Amino acid sequence: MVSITENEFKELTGYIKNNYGIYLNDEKKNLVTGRLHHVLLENNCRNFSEFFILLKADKTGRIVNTLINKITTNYTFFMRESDHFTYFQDQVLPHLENTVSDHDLRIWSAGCSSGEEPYTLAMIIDKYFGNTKKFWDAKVLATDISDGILKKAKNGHYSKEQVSSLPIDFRMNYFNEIDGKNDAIIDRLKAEVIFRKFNLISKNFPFKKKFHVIFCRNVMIYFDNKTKIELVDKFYECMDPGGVLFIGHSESLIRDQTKFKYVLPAIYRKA
Amino acid sequence: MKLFKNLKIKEKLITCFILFAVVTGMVGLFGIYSMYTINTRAENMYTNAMSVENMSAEAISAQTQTLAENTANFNSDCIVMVVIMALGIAIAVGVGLKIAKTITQPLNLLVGSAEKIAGGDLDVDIHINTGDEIADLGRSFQKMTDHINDVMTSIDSAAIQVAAGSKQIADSSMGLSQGATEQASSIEQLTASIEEISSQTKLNANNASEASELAESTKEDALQGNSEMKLMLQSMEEINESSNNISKIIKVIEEIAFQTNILALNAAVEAARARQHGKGFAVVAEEVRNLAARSADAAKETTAMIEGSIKKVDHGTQIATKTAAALNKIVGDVTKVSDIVGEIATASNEQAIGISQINQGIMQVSEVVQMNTATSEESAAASEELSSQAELLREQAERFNLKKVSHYSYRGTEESKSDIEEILRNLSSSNNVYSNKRGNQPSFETNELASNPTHIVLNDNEFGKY
Repeated sequence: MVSITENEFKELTGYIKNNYGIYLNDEKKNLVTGRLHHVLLENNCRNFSEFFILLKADKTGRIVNTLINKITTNYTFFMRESDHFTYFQDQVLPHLENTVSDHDLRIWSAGCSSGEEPYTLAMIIDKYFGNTKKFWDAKVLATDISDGILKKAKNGHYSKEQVSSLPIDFRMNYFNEIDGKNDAIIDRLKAEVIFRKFNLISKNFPFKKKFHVIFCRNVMIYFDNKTKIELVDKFYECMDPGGVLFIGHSESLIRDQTKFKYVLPAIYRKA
Repeated sequence: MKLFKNLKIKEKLITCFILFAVVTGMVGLFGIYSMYTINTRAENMYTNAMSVENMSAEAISAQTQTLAENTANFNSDCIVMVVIMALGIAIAVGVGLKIAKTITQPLNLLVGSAEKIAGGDLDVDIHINTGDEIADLGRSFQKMTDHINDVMTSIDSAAIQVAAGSKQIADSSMGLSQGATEQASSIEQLTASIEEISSQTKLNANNASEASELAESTKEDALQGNSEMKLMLQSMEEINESSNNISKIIKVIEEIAFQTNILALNAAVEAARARQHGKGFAVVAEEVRNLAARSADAAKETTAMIEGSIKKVDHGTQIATKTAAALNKIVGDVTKVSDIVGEIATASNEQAIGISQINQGIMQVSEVVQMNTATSEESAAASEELSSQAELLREQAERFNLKKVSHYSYRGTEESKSDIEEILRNLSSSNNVYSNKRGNQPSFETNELASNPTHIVLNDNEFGKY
């Protein structure tokens, strides 16, 4: 195992934090060395300093992509924190159905990981609108910084064990069996999710129109407080009035540091 | 009226009493004035009566006396009235002040307590020793603060517990995450070693197969050698036989030479008999004798050689027999070697299959461990977030200064509270270290940002309808 010195760790984590927001404190040393050990070997680096030089010299983005793929934690599952999906279905969708006159729903799953969240949203939307779905453009935008996990998400293959937490009608309607152990999302639903690579630390959000709903759950737990506040402000700016922000249940926005109004635990609304 | 509204209760009461006193005074003055007018009228009546001529002296004196009494009464009543009035006003003002005090003092006490509560200090005691509504208010106030105090105490201790608990969760999930990461890297190493072993085993299997093939071909070669050896023995037997035959032929030649020699002797005798005429014949006979002698010599030499040859062939046969036996043994051994090497090859192949199965198993374990790393990492991050929020809650609750002994608390909670407070102190001190670490970060980061011109944003360029 290649060990990392104090300075190397500071340099590397500083670079990651400044460019990609992920905050790694000293306790994550093991994580960094453990996850990057192979990357170093593959790139013939004897230590982290050599790797860092290589990283900074690499203009193609190959190394940095590998770094981000390794350093990000992609943990998610279908129906995770399901209260949010219930609220989305029972409160948010009826409201949007009545208020969005141009029939263009803009829902963003920021930090979509392996795609369980945006696919679940697409399923809920599809089920909610039923036959009238064809009158609506309700494609969900799903972004993540790691291209490795996005590839997996786009692929839309999940083990039966993973899928088992979904309601039976979702499993029946939106999955095809690949083999005895795996299922695949049907193409019609895949077309309802737009997967893109996006860095939430970007100074300017390039989106043309304002969002109605943003899901950004258990993403900001990897950021420090300043980055988090900045990101929440940017979310606020790129949302329609009345837009709903969902964050992880272990997260919360501090009342006097945000313009969002509290609705329910981990649910906030733009006034 | 508006002016009156803005007055304090004390001022209002005093104003009321003063107004009351003024009204009383005015009534008194009006009485004095009325009495004075009555008196004046009486005087006028007296003057008029005096102007009547035929009035008895008795009547006059009676009149005069009455007037004098009247005036005296009026004066004394006036004084009494003024005194009562002054007394009334004084009492009114005094009582007013007193009442105002009894009302405003507890009210001020309540105001002070309310101010303290507003400032977050719930450690207040309100004692009002009256029986009026203000005392009721005071009691309600006390009850209210006690209740709030109680609730806040519960919230405070809950917040402390949540803070301590979530910190613990954060720590343990951090440990879990570290453990999982270490596990993952160990498994990666294990996978690497197993892959190496696997390739070694495959090499072994290949080598064993090759050795088996070689042993097989060696066996065949040895078998072939053996059969050729048999052929050679046969040839040597044949050589032996031919040598014996040659030996017989040579014996015949020897006999012929002997007889030739005898014939040559006879011829020489005959030639001596013939003398002159047999001279030439004697020479020929001599030559023939010589030839016969040479023939006999050659036959003798050849016999010796053939005997040597026969001996050598015998020797050769012995060696060849031994070689054949050795070759036979080699064939047996090589067959065994071939079998063993074949077994080694089979075992190595089986080993290779087993190792690839182990590899697959380890791959699965590795996947699970990867998943565990992600899970524990996520829960570490989430619980850290939770911990910081619990800390925030605790700070909020700490803004209240709580009464130590509430009506609803008992000694047990007191003790546990002090324990918790100690935990909390440790916690907050460790937290300070943490925040200092964070605090130091920015200076380093800004340097880092400045010295780092390569910045790859990692964004896609278009977002479909977005």
